Amino acid sequence: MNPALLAAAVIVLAGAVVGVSARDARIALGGLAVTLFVAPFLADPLPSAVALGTRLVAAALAAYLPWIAVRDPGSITRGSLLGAPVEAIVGLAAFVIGYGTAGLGAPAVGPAEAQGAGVALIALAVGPLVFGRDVFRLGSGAVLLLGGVLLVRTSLGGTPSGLESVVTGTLFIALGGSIAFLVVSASTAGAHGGEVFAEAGPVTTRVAPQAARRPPGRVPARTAPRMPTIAIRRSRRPAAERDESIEQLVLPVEPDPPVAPDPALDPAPGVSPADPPESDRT
Amino acid sequence: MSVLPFLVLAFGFSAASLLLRRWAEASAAVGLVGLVAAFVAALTIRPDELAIAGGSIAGSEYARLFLLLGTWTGLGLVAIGLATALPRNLAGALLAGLGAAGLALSLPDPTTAVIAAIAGGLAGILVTLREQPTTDGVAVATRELRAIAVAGAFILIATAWMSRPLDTLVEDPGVFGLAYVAVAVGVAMRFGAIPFHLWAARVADAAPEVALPLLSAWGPAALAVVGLAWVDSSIVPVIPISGDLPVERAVVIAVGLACLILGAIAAWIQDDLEHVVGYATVQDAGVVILAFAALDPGVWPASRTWIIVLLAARTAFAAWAVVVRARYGTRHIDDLDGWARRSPVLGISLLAIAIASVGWPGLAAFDARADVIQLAIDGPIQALALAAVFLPLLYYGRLFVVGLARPGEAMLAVQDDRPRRPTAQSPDPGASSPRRPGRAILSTIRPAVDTNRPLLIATLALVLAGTAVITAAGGFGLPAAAAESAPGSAGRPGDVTGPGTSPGSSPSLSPEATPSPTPASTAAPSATASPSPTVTASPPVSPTPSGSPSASPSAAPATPAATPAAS
Repeated sequence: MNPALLAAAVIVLAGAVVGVSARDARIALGGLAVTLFVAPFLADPLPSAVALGTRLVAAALAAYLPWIAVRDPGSITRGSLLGAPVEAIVGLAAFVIGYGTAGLGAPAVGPAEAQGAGVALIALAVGPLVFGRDVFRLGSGAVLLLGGVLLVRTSLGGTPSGLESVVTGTLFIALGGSIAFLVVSASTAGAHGGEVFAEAGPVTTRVAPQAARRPPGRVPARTAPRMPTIAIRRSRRPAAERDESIEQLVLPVEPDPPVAPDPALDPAPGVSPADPPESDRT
Repeated sequence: MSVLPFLVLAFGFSAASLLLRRWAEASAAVGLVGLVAAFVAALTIRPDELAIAGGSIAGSEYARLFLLLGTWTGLGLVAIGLATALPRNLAGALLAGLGAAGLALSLPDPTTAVIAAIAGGLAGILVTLREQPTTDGVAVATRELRAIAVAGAFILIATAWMSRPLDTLVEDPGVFGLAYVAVAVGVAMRFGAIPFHLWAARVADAAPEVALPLLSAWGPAALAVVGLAWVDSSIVPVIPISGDLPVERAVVIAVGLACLILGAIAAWIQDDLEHVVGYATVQDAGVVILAFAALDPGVWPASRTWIIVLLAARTAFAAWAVVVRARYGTRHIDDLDGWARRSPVLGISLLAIAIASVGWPGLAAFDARADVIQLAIDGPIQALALAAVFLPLLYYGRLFVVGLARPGEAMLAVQDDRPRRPTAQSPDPGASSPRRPGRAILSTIRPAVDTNRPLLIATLALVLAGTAVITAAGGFGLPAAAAESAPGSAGRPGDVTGPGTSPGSSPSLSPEATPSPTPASTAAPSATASPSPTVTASPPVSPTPSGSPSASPSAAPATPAATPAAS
């Protein structure tokens, strides 16, 4: 086992865990960026300087494009329902499985650590891809899935060529651009925190911070969700004991009427509209 | 080398058009110029190879034809969009998608080609949403992103698994079967084939009609061509060792047949023109899926011929639907009584599209589709599949019956195809200035164009339909281009060495294979090109009497004896 490669794999895994479990979209994006930056180093021998530079520049662009969309302090994402520790354990278990099955039945040309990290990323991507309710989280799942598959490919086939690095970098830039485009479109459409998939559940009157700051006249009416729904039962615990973070997970089943200006949400004199109440920040 | 100018122009103008998207007219103008420049660059593509950054990019006649048709029909779509309602990102996304398709078709390494095709598919997300996005629309686009990522992951894992020394894995047919099914399912997901059609149906509902060809045909088609090349080079040569994978083939045939039959029926019963176009594409994709089930080198030219015909015919069909909606203000078939009477040009267009996509024996498209079915399916099901190719007559017939019905009041109020003189307008005071001759010309042309806009967009649809008919008849050198070897293989046009000799795409079978620090895809040349200590599964191929590429089973390395030579 190469300690340097193992350290790189741990960093990749840690970034992915942060990416899928953080509820502040900026922190989640930071985790993804770490994963994208360190993943090219999981190769033995290392790619050429040009190939490595290409991947790093591509990683920077792939992270910067969604950053434009989520840099607002109010940007929220769903995060993990299981929590970061569970995600870390899942990733670690998948890493061990991937490391132990290096080569998938035949001698691997690349390092086993790459396959371990790749399988871990694929395992961590399952949650966001299957249960993701907001655009950013689902996009993060797509990045992790393809990043994981490409790490497995590095382990099986060896260090990618310079040309493959360029094409791979282009893929990640396109992914970042797609996520940014979708997040901005979801925000324009008035989706709560980028959540565009409906869930069965109780109706909430909570307004996401971005929607709360928007002038009342510009708030678009939400249309009736038509996507297949996944029922999430509400806790029977008393309201006082509920986790506030769960509140943001529920979406209205019935279409909301156009949001009327709520006096409670109107900024009080002397309070900047750009500074939402602390309870709205998650 | 000849592909490089196309790639530079396509990606460059795409970036410029998308960066200018805030200014819709400038973005469209840059996109149009880019499409024209890319069309000219595609004309110069020829079979050659450029070594670059540790890999290579190879031009081919097939890539040339693919990209020429792509840019030509793209120009038609953008022109129709400009005359009706052009989605802001369409020109830029078209250029990005075609650039990525050109890259994928030119890369000899299948894994890299798949990565390029996936990246190109992401360009379609930019045109999935309408001008005013809704949460439903964003949800559909997000599902599309998920489908592209999952399909790409399947194919990437499969190609990566096979593109390295396989050691004793070669004795396990399950390995090849699993990889083969993963690639076929990945391509089926991208096409929205039944049973993976739900997201594609929603995309057809949510996306602007003019964007449908890019979303449901061009992006998936590039991936399908890459997938077919991989199957032909990595799976077909090992069939003598691994067996003919009966269970895996049955799964793929079931998916292909479901598309072929249910796709046509779904298109027939739909009331929405967009859905008809979407399911018609799914039905045609069924033939592509069946090509994966053939596992026969003879399916190579037929499948590639059909893919080009599919692209031309379905792009023309989508353009026709856009024009119908623009002229009659509805996309519901029940409200279109008498459409063909009001616009014979559109009627002729639909007839041409029907000929291109159904055809008759002797037509290149019909024969290609029949070859694919005959090579993929045996027994009575083959007859069923061959009969199913006429099912599109159901929905084309329904459209014609509606079109030839007596027009209602609303239809009679729509302008017909007769050319009209522009009505007299107040003269443009600046037009008479001798310093502005362009303005004078514009002031003369613009009223005439505006007055005859319905006829002009119908004519554009007719041009695209005519292109589809010529393609279906084997025009533009389609049969020769389709029979060409895969990029980077030892063979060249005229040779029939087949794609099986493609370096890098062949799995190494020798148990004594020495792991190489470089990827097998680039380091392991084929046995015919430059022998190496690694025996590859890519046997020397011999021409069949029909001229199609054929792998010689006797050359399959059933024994692990290595050929002595230096790598």
